[in-house]
This record gives sequence, C-alpha cells and structure tokens, in this order.
Amino acid sequence: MTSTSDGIREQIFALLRNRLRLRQRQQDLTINSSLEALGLDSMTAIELLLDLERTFGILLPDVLLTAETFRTPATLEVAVRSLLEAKG
Amino acid sequence: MGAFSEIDPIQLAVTASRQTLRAWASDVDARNRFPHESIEALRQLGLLTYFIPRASGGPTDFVTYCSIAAVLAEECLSTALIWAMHCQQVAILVDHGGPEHKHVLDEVERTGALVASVTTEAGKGGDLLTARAPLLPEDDRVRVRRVAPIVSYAEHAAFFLLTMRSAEDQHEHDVRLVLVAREDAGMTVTGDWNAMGARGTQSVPVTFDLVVDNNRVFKKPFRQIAVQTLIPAAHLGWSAVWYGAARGAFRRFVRQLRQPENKSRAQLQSDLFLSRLADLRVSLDLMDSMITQAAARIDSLRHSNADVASYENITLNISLNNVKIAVSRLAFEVVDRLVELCGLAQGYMKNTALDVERVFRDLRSATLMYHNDRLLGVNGKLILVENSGAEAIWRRPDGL
Ligand SMILES: Cc1cc2nc3c(=O)[nH]c(=O)nc-3n(C[C@H](O)[C@H](O)[C@H](O)COP(=O)(O)OP(=O)(O)OC[C@H]3O[C@@H](n4cnc5c(N)ncnc54)[C@H](O)[C@@H]3O)c2cc1C
Repeated sequence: MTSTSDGIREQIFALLRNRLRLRQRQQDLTINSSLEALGLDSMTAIELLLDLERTFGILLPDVLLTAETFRTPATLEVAVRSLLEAKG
Repeated sequence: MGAFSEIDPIQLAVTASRQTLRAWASDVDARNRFPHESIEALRQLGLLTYFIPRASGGPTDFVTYCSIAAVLAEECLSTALIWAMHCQQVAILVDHGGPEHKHVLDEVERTGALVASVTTEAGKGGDLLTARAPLLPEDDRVRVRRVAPIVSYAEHAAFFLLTMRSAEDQHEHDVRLVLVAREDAGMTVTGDWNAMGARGTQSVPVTFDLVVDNNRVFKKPFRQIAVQTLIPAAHLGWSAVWYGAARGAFRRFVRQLRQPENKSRAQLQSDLFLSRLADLRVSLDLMDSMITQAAARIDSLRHSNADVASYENITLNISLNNVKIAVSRLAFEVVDRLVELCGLAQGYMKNTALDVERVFRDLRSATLMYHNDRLLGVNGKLILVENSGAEAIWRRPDGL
C-alpha cells in the first residue's frame, strides 16, 4: 500500500477494514480490491457511507451513490477527495 | 387431487379450517405434535399446490395467498404457518428453479410432498442473507454439511431448500440455495421442539451431511431469490398467519357475546367494554390493510414481470419489513387485550371454546420469528438513504 501524505487513503482503508471485518477474516485489501468480493452488501454499504461522511465531514450526494463509487478503495478515494476539494 | 380451476381456493381454505383445523388444533398443541389431519385436509383439497401455475388452474397471487393463510390461521396457527412456509418454498421453485428442481413440483402435485426451509444457522442466527457453512466440492458433486438449529416440520418434509456459502474461499454474503431431498439421507434430527407455542410446527434442530449433484444448487445468487420471492412471501405469509390467528380469536369472542348463555352479557351495556372491543377491531383492520396493500403491490410487480431492481426498491423493502414488524406486535397485542376482555374463565384457562390461551402462546413467537430487532436495525439504515437512489450501490450489472 502506498501512503498518501494527507492520510485520506489510510483513513478509508481503516474504515473498510473495520466494516468488512477484514482482520477477523485474516484478509486485507489493496487500493484496487473489489469491495463486492470482500463482502460489501447493501447494509455494509450504508454503514460505510455513514462512516465516510462522519470521518471526513462530507455528505455524499445522490449522484455519487452508485456501484462505481463503491467499487474499490480507489474509487471511494476519488469521491472523497472531490468532495473535500469542493468543500475547500 | 383437486385443482381449483372452478373452485375459489379461499372457500376451500374456509372449509378445511372449519371442518378439520378447528377439530384438531387443541390436540396438536396439547400433544406437541405435527398436525397430520389438518395438513392431509389441505393436501386433499389441492391447497398444497398453490403457486404451481398448472396445478392451480389459473394465475396465483399474493393477495389470495395471504387470505388463505389468514383463514387457516383462524383455527390453527401451526397448520397455517406450515402451509405458508411450504408455499414460500414452492414459490421459490416455481420462480427460480432449473429443470433439475422442477421434479419437486411434480412430487408436490402428485403426493402433496412438503418442502421445508433452512436459512437459520448456528452462530449467525436469523441473518437471512448470509451463510457460514460452505458448499464443498467432492469429485463431480458437492457436499452439504450444515447445522440447522430450527427447521419447521423437518420430520415431515420430503424436500429442503438450504442456504449455503457458495464455497470455502467465498465471503459469507455469497450465498447459494441448494435442494436436498429426504431420500438423499444424511439428515439427522438432533433434538425436539418443546416450545411455548406454535407447537404443531415441530421446528426441530437438524444437521445435514450429504453429497448431491451440482445441479441441485440454484444458478441464481440467493440474494436475488430472496429479494424477489422469499422475503415478500415470508413476511406477508407469516403476517397473514398472525393476523388470521388474532382475527379468529376475536371472532370467536364476538360470536358468543350476544348468546343468551353468555354470563357476561351485562358487559354489552358498558361503554368502556364496547370501546375496548372496538379498539381491537381497529388493530385488526390496520393489520388487514397493511398486508393487503403490500400483497397487491407485490402482485402488480409479479404480473408485470418486473425485474429484480424493482424489488430492490428501498421504500418497498422498508414497507415489507414494516408489515412484519407491525403485525407481529399488533396480533399479539390484540390477543393479550382479548385475555383482559375475556377474563379468567374464558381468556386465561386452557381449552375453552375460544382458545384464546393457545393463540396467546402461539402468537408470542411472532416478534422472534425473524427477529424484529434485526428488521428494525435494517430499516433504520434504509430510512437514512431512502429516495437517494442508493439501491444503485448494490445493484449488480447482471441484473441484481
Ligand atoms: C415458530 C418458528 C418457526 C421457525 N421455522 C424456521 C425454519 O423452518 N427454518 C429456519 O431456518 N428458521 C426457522 N425459524 C427461525 C427464525 O426464522 C429466526 O431465524 C429465528 O427466530 C431467529 O432466532 P434468534 O433469536 O436466535 O436469532 P437472531 O435473529 O440472530 O436474534 C438474536 C438476538 O439478537 C438480537 N439482534 C439480532 N439482530 C439484531 C440487530 N440487527 N440489531 C439489534 N439486535 C439484533 C435480537 O434482539 C435477538 O435477541 C423459526 C422460528 C420460529 C419462532
């Protein structure tokens, strides 16, 4: 895992590890892991959405509530960054 | 066996309910046994084939399914639950079964074979959409090894639909449904069912350990089967049963109020009594309309061959869960308050003509049967993203 200076990626990874219970499953993820394959179902997706909003102080608008946004850690990171930038 | 091309299936259910279920319900409860006579009556009337289009001689629908369930439950909740759960499994086979599953439907038609459901699992409880025990490939076939803590009428079913994790290296959300036949052997009942109520369901613990052909595994992911068929059929079928059981007790009570031999006739002069009676009817009508409205909504989706995405709709799922949550509470509440109105002699004693005491015990299981806490937790989350289009997050390109 490459680290980013602002720690956003690390925070997203930490949220994902927690929600997908990766430690208990002795699994880990990379930036391009398929979240669906790691067990992201409808309820976990909503929990993750709420985690992201709380952690980063953002609101994910309806247009970003898509399978594409929630495909991999990378796609989530793009969404989070775009919202943080818009927030200024 | 009868086909209902000419005959109204609800009328058949009324006949069975009054003639047979009523006669045996107390005995089934007292002796803690499967309702053989009542299920046999449903078999002879052709009611076990509801949802099989050819056998039913016409289109089937959820509104009628719920009406039948309620009518049966008026006299015997256990028989009605067995009927509703069997129909849920038949509906799954009709809607999602491959050619290798269809012979089960022939058996249901020919012999009235029962199909049972295995979704609960030790460790994960009632969490419907996950499974722990994996399907294990064995030569060209697949091993099904699974603990099932509670399987209704397991000793009387010829077939079982089990949820299993798709493979050992797959996630527990990757669930497949697999058909197992009693004939396959490898099924062991490991305990008995000594419960407060719903005793006729004989919901015993079972372990499965057997090898079946690969084609016994349904091709579609279980989630799709659950969203499109099992969840609507289970929530609405169970709710109709609970509502019907409460309605039956209420009607028996009302029927004897004006009888000359009713020792408490003086109550009818009491405004408080009349208003309490009327209040119960409010709850019954609430349940009825919630169930009927949701069933009609599912019927319109089914009749228009709606895609899976339509069944994923968050608002629809909140309201289906709400039918189950509300009816499981209200039905018990109605009978609880009926005990109050009936008093000791008619409400609290066993084996009275009103059978309120039995229905009270039977209905206590409703909130636990697929725990309301679980559904409330789900709805709490769904409400936060309702109308946001969040369904798109978990919709798969293959239609799910
Ligand atoms: C009469 C009857 C017949 C049945 N027949 C069958 C059958 O044929 N086949 C079958 O597979 N199963 C059957 N079941 C089981 C049923 O479908 C449920 O799975 C079961 O009742 C759930 O049992 P549970 O309370 O152990 O588990 P859970 O639902 O896991 O609940 C356990 C506890 O956890 C709490 N809880 C759970 N989820 C949450 C949450 N999200 N938030 C907060 N708290 C939560 C609940 O409060 C509860 O106290 C039957 C049950 C009954 C009563």
